[in-house]
Amino acid sequence: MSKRIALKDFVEVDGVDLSNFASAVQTHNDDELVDVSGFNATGADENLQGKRTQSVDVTFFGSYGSGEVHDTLWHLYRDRVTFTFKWRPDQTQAAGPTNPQYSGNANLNSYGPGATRGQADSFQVTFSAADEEGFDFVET
Amino acid sequence: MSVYLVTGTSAYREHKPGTTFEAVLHPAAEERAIARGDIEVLERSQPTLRPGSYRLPAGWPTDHQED
Repeated sequence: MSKRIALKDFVEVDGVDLSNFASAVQTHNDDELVDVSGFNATGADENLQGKRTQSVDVTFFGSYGSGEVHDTLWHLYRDRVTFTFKWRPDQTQAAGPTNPQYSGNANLNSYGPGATRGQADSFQVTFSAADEEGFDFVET
Repeated sequence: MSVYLVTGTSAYREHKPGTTFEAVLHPAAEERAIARGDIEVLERSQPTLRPGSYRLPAGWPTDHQED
């Protein structure tokens, strides 16, 4: 897939397709830098990749109908549930080499809906990788 | 393996509303989906061996034989 305008992204939480309620997705895949620098002639630092942290921020439109955002997410947060999360660039195509799917087991660590008069009800939630498998890009 | 009907307004595991699908779901995930109204169970099937659908190797005792 070449350069694209993000319009067809697929977002699924605990099996529920919430694509039409999502307007932004941002993954975070970060490894801690562990300094193992020793004395050396150049003075350059040496680092090793340490602990890995993975999370996904998704901006949702607040929606309170059956099977919509609140109905799906609140219970996942309240009950500390581990569930599946999926995101891929194109919902009209299956996952593949040009449409890799970012997925894994997740926990919902923050959930904070709110509202501002006259503005679209929109807020961000953060899903964190729940187990040692982490999030990964899959192509099938 | 069970057969489910997608009853919610959104697709469930990429199966559109009003469609049926076969799957083995984690019990907790199934319970949540049913509680939300995303799916309902149409049929549960248990794997079975129908009499006459298999044959034991020659010489193996059957239920009617003693060792």
